[in-house]
Amino acid sequence: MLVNRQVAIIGGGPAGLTAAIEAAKVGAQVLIIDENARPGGQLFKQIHKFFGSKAHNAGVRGMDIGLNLLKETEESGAETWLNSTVIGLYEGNRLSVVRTMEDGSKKIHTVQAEKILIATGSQENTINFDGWTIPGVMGAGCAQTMINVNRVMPGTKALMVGSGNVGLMVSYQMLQAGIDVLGVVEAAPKISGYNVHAAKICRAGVPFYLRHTIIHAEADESGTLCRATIAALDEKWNPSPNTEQSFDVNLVCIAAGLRPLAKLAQMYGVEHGFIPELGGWMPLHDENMETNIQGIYVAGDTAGVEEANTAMDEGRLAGISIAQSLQLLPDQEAEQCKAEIRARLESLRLGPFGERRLQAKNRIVKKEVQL
Amino acid sequence: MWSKKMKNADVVVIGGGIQGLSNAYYLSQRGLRVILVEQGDLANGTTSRSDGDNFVCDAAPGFTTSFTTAAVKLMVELVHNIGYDVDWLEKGAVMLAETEAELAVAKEIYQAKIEAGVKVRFMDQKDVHDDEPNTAPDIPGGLEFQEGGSLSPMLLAFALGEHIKAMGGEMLRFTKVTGFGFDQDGAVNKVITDQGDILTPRVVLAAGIWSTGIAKLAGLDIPVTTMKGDLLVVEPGVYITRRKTMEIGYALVRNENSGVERKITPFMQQHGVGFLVEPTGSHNALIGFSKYPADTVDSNCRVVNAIARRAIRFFPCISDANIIRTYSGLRPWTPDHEAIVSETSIPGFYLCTGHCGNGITNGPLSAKCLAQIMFNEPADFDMSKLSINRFQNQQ
Amino acid sequence: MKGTILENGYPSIEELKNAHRFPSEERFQKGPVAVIECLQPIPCNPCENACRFGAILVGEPIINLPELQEEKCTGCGMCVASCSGLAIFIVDKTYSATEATISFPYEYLPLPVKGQAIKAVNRAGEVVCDGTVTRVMNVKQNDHTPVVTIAIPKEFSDDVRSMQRLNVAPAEKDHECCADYTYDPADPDDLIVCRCEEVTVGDIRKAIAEGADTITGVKRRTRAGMGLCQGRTCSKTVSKMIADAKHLSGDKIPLDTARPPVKPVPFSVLAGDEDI
Repeated sequence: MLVNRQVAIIGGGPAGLTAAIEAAKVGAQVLIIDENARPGGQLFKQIHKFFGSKAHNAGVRGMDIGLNLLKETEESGAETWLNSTVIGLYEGNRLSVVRTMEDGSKKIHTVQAEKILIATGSQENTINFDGWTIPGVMGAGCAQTMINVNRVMPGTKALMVGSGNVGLMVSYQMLQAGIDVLGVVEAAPKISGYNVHAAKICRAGVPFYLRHTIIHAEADESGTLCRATIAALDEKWNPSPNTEQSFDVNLVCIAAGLRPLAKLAQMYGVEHGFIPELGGWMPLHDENMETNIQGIYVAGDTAGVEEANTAMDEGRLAGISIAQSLQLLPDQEAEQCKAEIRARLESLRLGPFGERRLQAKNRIVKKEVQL
Repeated sequence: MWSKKMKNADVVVIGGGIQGLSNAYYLSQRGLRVILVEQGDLANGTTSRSDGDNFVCDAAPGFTTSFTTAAVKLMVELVHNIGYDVDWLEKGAVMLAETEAELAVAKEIYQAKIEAGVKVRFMDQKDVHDDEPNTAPDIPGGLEFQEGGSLSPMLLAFALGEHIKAMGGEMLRFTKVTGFGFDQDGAVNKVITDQGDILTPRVVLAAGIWSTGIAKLAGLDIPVTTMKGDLLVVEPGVYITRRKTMEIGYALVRNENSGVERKITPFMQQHGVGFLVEPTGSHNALIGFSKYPADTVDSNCRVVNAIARRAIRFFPCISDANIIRTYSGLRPWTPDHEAIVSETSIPGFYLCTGHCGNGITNGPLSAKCLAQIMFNEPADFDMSKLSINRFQNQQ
Repeated sequence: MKGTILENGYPSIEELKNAHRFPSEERFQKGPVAVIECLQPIPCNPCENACRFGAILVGEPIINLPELQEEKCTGCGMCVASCSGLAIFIVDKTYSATEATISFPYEYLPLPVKGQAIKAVNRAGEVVCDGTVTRVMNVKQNDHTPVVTIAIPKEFSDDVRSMQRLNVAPAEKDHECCADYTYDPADPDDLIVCRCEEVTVGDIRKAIAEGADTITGVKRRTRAGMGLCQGRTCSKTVSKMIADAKHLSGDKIPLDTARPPVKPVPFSVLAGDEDI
């Protein structure tokens, strides 16, 4: 069945929802397509209070920001298809969507939209070590979904690999869920996430193993993880012999970074660039979040891995740009809103943790990325 | 760039797909100093976008059937001696009729194949279901071809590549042909590429869908166009049937036989949609097919959906199986849907292209026969059937 | 970097003092005061709004470190639960002649109760002394960040920042509990890279040696990335292996082709298309 909408938004996470709200509230006919039972993306597993400023809901827990966004989305009049997956993006701005109907059946729909926002987020990187395929070795984000969304304990004794903010936050949330975190392993000589996150788990007695890497995971007779071994790294970043330490754990979480999930953009021929600061290959965009293909926008982690606050502001930026291009918003008003959002985004990208991302984003919008 | 030092070869083969590699392989075996030129990686074009069938079932009667029968035999020999695992599954193939009218066509095909010496069995409704219980209950019958098998065209291509290297052949990948040089008699003597020039008295143009453009660089007009086909990949571990199975419609569509009306929608008709399944050596299955003029390899979602519906028609058990990938390829097509394996008006310039969806099966034999033409040896087949002149004569 | 906040995960008292992030001893002697242990410029400012006495300044840009106007701080503790980084503590060195109190955010269950004896821990989570819970604040505006106050001997007041969690047995210091276990390294070539198609490091190295120089080239030779997940898991590893083998940077290894469907889809669903 062919369905026409002014705006189709793929992914109802923080970027997709804010974009939908901005576009729908000025009268755009917006369809959000999300593959989960409820939209909100990763927000509902963010049980911690957010950073940022008041405009970013700082101090509010991610899950509550998610609830507020859902309410705003409903009020904005945007339409939402849940449990529905976009499986392809084809010529003529056509999306192939597997839609779950009210009776639970699945039906293939073709959605044709004047403007399409791809806000499909990011995916976790893996690291390959001996035993990485054993059940019990999983992405940190996966463990976080299990404990905070599905309410399932992925294990009782855990080792975290990676000390970025995801590794630190998930370690903390595992402790909150009652999982014993035996250590955080980090290949770099320093902890890479925010110190305040690291300090929280230090106070809970979790040790850091810097300049170490995981080299082995082992399963018991039943095939489940029972042990993990780490080793110190030498100056060439290779494991040093005789530095192995083993831990009795039934959970190993890998927090080795994220990368943009942009298969749909790629399929449609959107120009990509390699931006290591933002997760590697990603669709390039202009200062309105529009890609080189007119009418195709990206926002949030798809447009470079950052965090939920920047995702929400990029979503708003995309939503307003879309509304403006549909002539639903006077140029002057749109430009003013966009300037405010860009200023906010810049403030989120200041400081030692953000400046590389800020520079990378500037390179992207100024089209200084080598192709 | 190696342009500073000009290269020399006895023969330059253009194209690193199954045609080019087969030619380079057989010419190297003859002791020639071969240079193969490929604009991308090996198996970059249609070779990596096709199924790997090696059967005679869809071949038109007459020359094509006898040529293909020999091609299948040669392929069986080749895969058994090549020393690499190419996912070869030698289980024969089945063709199913959807209607009584199609069953009548099956009978005709049966007669023709028997006369050509092909090992084929006619199956009625019961035979079909005894052979494969998953087949839709109302399928009235079909044909079983006992010979032939399927393989991974890419693995075959890479295996040929390794043999060519071992025989001293040179393969210049990521090298694009930009022109040719000729001597005073008009014979080809040079291949010009973006990386440098190669002096050679012989050129085999085996560049599949790119052949027409490259032939133009030599001043030749050849009628190779593109005909798209879509394939769906089924998730691993789902059993559909044990061997290659297709509807009779495959032969009807391929050979542009419009005498029998197929029970399909106008959209399917326009896009040459039908059913084909090929269980692969990698424990998944490929599902086809479609055939319509197009010049890009972007997937067409409606055609893919139509193929899915057609697959369920023949094997209802496939309903719940997942499709994990779809891809499309462009068959190098000719006006009479037969290949061009031929010398040309330019001395030393040969063609091995336009295999119209049968390039995997017929690749090695085409290469072998072209070498016979090249060295004026008695041919195993009447190669005038595949000569470029047949089109010029028409004009 | 040895022994610094970046290595330890928590700031040392010297680092706090050097960064002028520690109230003066003079101020401590006047009564409860906020200690803000936030030493990195991150974009965050809720503490500024949480203080109704205007004792915390962040200003613009919001990555400024919070600055405590210690004379304005009343030690009320409103800022403690507001801090998303859980990095603000209230220290009262005037609690009694021998004891000080420390108030800290505590987001673990079960919560302690007033009067309960607990083990007080320092910034590294080490038990340094016994303590007694004097207050548990879990009001609605804290939004599930309870603030626990404990009384401890005065001499530990600069070190104690939390309490040992109640549901946790004393930590086994020695994690090398597998003393009789020795790690037997496997052949690195046997390591699986593509789990869907069971393609190993050795297979991929061989393909690269045979000339594969793109993810697609490796895929065609080995099937890495052709399985159920369509290369989502392994493509980055494959790309890195090519880059390492050919001494190329990541931008020289293009992405593999994206093909529909991006997620597996059953035949029956596609077949239901009404427009075919």
